[in-house]
Amino acid sequence: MNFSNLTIQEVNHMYKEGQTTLNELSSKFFDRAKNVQDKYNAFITLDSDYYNNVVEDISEELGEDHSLAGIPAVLGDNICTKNLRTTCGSKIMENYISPFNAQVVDKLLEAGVIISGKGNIDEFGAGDSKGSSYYGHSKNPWNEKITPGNGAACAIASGTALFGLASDASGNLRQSAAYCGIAGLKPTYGRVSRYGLIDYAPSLDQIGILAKNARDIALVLACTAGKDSRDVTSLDNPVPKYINEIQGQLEGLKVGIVKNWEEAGSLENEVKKSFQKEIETLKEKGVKIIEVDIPSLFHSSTVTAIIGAVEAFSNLANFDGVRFGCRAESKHLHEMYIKTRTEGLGTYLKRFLTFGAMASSEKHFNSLFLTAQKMRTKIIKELQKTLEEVDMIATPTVPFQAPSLESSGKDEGITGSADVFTSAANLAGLPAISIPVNIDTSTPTGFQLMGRTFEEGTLLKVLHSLEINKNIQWPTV
Amino acid sequence: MTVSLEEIKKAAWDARLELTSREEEVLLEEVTQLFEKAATFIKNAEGIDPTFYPVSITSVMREDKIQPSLPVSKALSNAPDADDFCFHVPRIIEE
Amino acid sequence: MKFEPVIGLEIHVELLTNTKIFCGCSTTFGAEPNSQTCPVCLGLPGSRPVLNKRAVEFAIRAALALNCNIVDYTTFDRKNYFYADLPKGYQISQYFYPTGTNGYVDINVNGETKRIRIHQLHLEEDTGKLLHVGDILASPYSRVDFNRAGVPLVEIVTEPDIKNSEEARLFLQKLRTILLYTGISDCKMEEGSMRCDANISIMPKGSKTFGNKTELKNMNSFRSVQRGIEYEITRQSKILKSNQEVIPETRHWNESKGSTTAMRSKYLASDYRCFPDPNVIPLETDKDWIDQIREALPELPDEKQARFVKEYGLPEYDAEVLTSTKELADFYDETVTLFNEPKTVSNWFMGELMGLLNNEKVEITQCKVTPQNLANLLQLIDKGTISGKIAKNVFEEMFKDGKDPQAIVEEKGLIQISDTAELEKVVEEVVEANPGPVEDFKGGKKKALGFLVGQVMKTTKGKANPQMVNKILGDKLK
Repeated sequence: MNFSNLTIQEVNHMYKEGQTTLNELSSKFFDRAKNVQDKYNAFITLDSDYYNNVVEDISEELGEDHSLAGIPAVLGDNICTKNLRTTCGSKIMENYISPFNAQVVDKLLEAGVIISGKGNIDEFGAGDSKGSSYYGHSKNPWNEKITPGNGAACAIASGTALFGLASDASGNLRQSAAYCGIAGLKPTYGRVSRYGLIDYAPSLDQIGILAKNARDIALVLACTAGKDSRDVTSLDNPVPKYINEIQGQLEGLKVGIVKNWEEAGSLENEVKKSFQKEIETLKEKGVKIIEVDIPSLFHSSTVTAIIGAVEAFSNLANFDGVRFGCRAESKHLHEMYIKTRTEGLGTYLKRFLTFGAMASSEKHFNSLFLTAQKMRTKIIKELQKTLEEVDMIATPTVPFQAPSLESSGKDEGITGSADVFTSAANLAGLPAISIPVNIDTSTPTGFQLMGRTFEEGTLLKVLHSLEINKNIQWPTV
Repeated sequence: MTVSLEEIKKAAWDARLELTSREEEVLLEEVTQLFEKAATFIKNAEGIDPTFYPVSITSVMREDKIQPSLPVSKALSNAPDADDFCFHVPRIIEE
Repeated sequence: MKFEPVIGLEIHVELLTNTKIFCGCSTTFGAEPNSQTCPVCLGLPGSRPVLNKRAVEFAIRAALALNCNIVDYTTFDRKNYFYADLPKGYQISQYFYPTGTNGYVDINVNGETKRIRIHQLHLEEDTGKLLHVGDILASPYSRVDFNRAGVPLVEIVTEPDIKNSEEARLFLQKLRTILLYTGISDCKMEEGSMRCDANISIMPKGSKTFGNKTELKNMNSFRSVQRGIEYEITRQSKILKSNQEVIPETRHWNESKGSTTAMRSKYLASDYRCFPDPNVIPLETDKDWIDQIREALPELPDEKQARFVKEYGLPEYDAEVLTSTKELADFYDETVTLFNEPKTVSNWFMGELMGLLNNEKVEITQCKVTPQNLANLLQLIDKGTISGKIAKNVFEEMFKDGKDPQAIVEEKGLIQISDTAELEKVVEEVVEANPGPVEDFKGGKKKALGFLVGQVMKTTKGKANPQMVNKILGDKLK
């Protein structure tokens, strides 16, 4: 069985034709996951008991078209699972077992998905994909010296899961997709319930989908999207048959290129070239490329950092060693808080939260936090106006290729330089997709498209059109 | 906009954290840079309403119907320190 | 130097919803610790708050009853601080746009109406409860119960219009009455469903500048609010008289010591960094909904009192007493519709009914007498079936076991004797048996008549019709 190239459609075909059974496929995938774990540290938790229970509970018909039954998947470790610990990549949550499943987990289990394990993440999903997890760095299966972003992307690129769900608050999911040569969709804010997502910035964070192709993302999105009464920010817009929406020609589609995109800080030549190449391909397919002006776009990563840090300061205040998580013993309540949080949280997160406390303090509330929220309005308006003119906005996903793991020994900045192009979609709640490019060169990168709210289908259509004829040699394990 | 080391210490305290002096230095540098960046747009933001929510819907509420609570043992199951009914916290009164 | 106190109150009132403000846990008081908790009210990671519609409705209802303007757009904001009873590290409250603003409550101070302005009323969530093991000072640890965490509260903030502890008490009583009328809370100070903090400062009489204020907490009854305020006024006066400054601070009322002490802590939050909670989207209260709530408001104490004066011709005092609770006023209203002599009914309420309720410590809601039975009793007096004196005994029976007065009267043979022949016979006997007093009366001692009437009543066990006895005796002794 060639794991690396498998897609949901192919596994369904194998089930249908009797080429494999649930038991065979699931045990092979789990064995492979263990190997990949040894090599790349993609997972925080791989639990064979949990895995076997999930497999045993599958009662769905296998091999149906568009079915997710019997399909192995990985979850970012800030998505709550009953009976399987959820660590958020943090020491403070080392042994935390949530009493409830995230809404997306219930939906996946109901569909018969095999949850193979919990993928490594930056602590609480905050950081710029260079790895700030208490559970160590993951390595990129294309090149062990560079970061894969999050562990879920690593698991998919190394063929241990067919898709993954992970959080995206400033671009982490899309950046991970770009680094690993897979696709990553951050849906519209409210498209997928955040109930059970341990987010650090509730106005920015959204659960997204990582997979190798548009078909797979379409199936997973159709399964996980929709209104959830437990998350008031989830919206009840109808969930289309995304699988049908990905078909069709791109002719007539209008794609905007930001006027001064080349001025983005730390833009690498390789990234620039592959972006231009992708634009050429779109032109060949009849897409109209239009230059657009989004003057405030380059402020979005700073604005996102300020809003994200303030929300995180507040949102992670419940990690206080009282009701759950680790506690550092101390005789006095507040000393216990300080000791617990200081020992339980990582250095990046501590700086980030401290910055959040500062940006929301009386002295800086107006000049930093409120100003950032006002800039957010400005950025949203500029994007909305642009999206009246064009169907989507194209940028590179990340201005550079996956950073080397050695360089991540350095202190990460609280404004991630990787977020330059990705964070605007989080500020505005717009859907955005990272399309893999340069996969043949073994230093993959990403091509990002940002679309109108609830037009995930159109983004997937472009992804689908661009992936045809790409014969990818996935890394072998 | 400038920032001092004292301010960083105070903010860390308010977040119930203790930074090492190395972390304080790094953060001071980062914050100084960030302030410089923020200074470039602070004027642009004047007269604009802030956006705290990325969705425009309002007024989603639920009916006042009782849902089952967690069993007490489950509610306490993740607690670092508890008895059969309550969570325990260290002393609240200061010396 | 004479000082003038300036007092503002902050009152927290728990709402009588079935469930908490952001989750479906029950709000029943007195349940086993932590048995009414869930991921939302425990602040477990990944949980999300969903606003309880009835909590909003109750807050609007209370704000309308306090004559407030109702906000049309509001957010639910995070007030960030760390404490053991606060599960999320922030309390969700309406910091930026309170439900109600610019209201008022009128109180009666020595017969004069005084208006206490309401600055605002906002909706928020309650905290958990700390249970101290033994003495709080010696205890090495505390236990935490989160049953109360997330119970909906309204906080009512007055303007500094209150001048002394008596006004504070009158205001609190009036506020409690109004809120009880609206049914949004049971307002039990002893169970903590109504709590009061006071902001107190004093300034030289006639001054326009307020002095430094202290915030007084931990007053658990109307009485301790009064005592605490008095203590604080005296304390501050002493400080100013000795030319020192009052330190603006939070102070703790100690009921057993009868004094206040400063609550100082290096951990007290000074900056709450309030901002709208992105997990609780904004609320737009549409006009129709507010109108509906307004229309469903019951008649409030002031309106009811005015109606009782105007429609029933009652004295202000009676009307005020009768409207002191909605249940009493409803009882009265219903009795009057069954027996249309408002003043007579009022006398019975003010005398007999309230006397017995107070003596027996029974709430009007538990009273066994029904408006119908009371009206029946009054009719029996009216028809002359029983005397007013007998009626009082009958009423006591009714109060004890809830029986119909007619049945009691028949059972005990208490029907009034109004038969002239029968009464004449008794009068004759009494006149014969008491020659002395008869002579006295004839000799001009009018008082002696009372004695003779008493003797007739005694012989008839109180059943003789007193007016008739008077007439017959008078005729006889002419």
